[in-house]
Amino acid sequence: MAAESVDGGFAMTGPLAWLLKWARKNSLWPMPLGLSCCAIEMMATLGPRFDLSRFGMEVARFSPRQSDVMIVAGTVTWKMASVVRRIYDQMPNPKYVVSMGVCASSGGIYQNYAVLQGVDRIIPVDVYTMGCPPRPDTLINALLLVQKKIDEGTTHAHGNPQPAVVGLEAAT
Amino acid sequence: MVLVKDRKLSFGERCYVKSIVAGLLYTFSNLFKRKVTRCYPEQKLAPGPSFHGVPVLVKDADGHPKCVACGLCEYVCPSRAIRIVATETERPIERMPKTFEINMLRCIECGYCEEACPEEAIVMSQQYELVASSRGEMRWDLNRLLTAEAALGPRLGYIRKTFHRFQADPRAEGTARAVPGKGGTGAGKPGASQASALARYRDGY
Repeated sequence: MAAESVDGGFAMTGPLAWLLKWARKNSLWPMPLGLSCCAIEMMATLGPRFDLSRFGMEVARFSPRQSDVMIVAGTVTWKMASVVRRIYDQMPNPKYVVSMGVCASSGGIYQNYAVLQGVDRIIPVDVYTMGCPPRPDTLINALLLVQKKIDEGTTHAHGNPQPAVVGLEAAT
Repeated sequence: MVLVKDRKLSFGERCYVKSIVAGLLYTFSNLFKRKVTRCYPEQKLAPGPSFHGVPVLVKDADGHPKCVACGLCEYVCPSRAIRIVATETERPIERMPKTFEINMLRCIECGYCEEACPEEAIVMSQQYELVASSRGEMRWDLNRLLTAEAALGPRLGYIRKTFHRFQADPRAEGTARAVPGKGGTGAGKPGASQASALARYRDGY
């Protein structure tokens, strides 16, 4: 259980690091950032039929200070963009982001001046999800991928650099 | 104006004992009811033929795309997820896509491409759970889109029935449908009105 200083913090190795990873992986508390219709499917995911609590993720409260994974569910307009960023900044580290649905992932059908063409323009996204809206199954699949990435240490929260975000790219 | 007077609660009611017990009994009774949870990664949804998954391209028996790169799907796509570059080919269809790219992070699975396609070359698959770590992975190229026709059988059958395509005489098929309806062609009969609605739909096209 060696501890060394990295950027003013402590990097833990050995059994403690494994334990931390295991704990983080199995208690991902979501921050349900429901911005439009995808939020309905997100609520269905939390309901008894799909039951997100099977994975320790049922604690969906609108409190960024107590959450680990932000589910951006819906169309992010430019007006909402600063709010999304502020909520992300309020979340404690380590934090993960799931971009749920095509609107959050790339702007989707809304290719216009009002809508942010992908939430990864403002926050680092770990998992992108297809669908308009995605089925609850797809959201669960995305959260399972977040778990897998935490296990592998490949999330952005693990110090992996955010891929370069291109400017106002062409249509797709 | 109606004055509402609160009923005076009895001692038992004020203690909430009855309510607490009733609530707990309801919770307890749910233990014995049928379970509704579907355990997703183990129990997956089995989509029917009307399901809209992501669109894929149909591969013919020789392994070539059936697509003739007419660009109708590209044109009709509301989220502009499709990009096609056409080229010529020696095969009888003369045209084929050089590159065919669908951005699955744009696609809203509306099925307009499938409906617009004159060659039955792009159909909705049953894949609905795509997730990725980067946007590039969700941009499917021709190789990834090509799917064997056999794998898309139920959906192809469904769209042939729905769009009345590739049939000798769609109007004759429509009347054949109306006859085994609930006797006659009365205006109030649901079968008849459905058939006439279908006929009107086809006339509109």
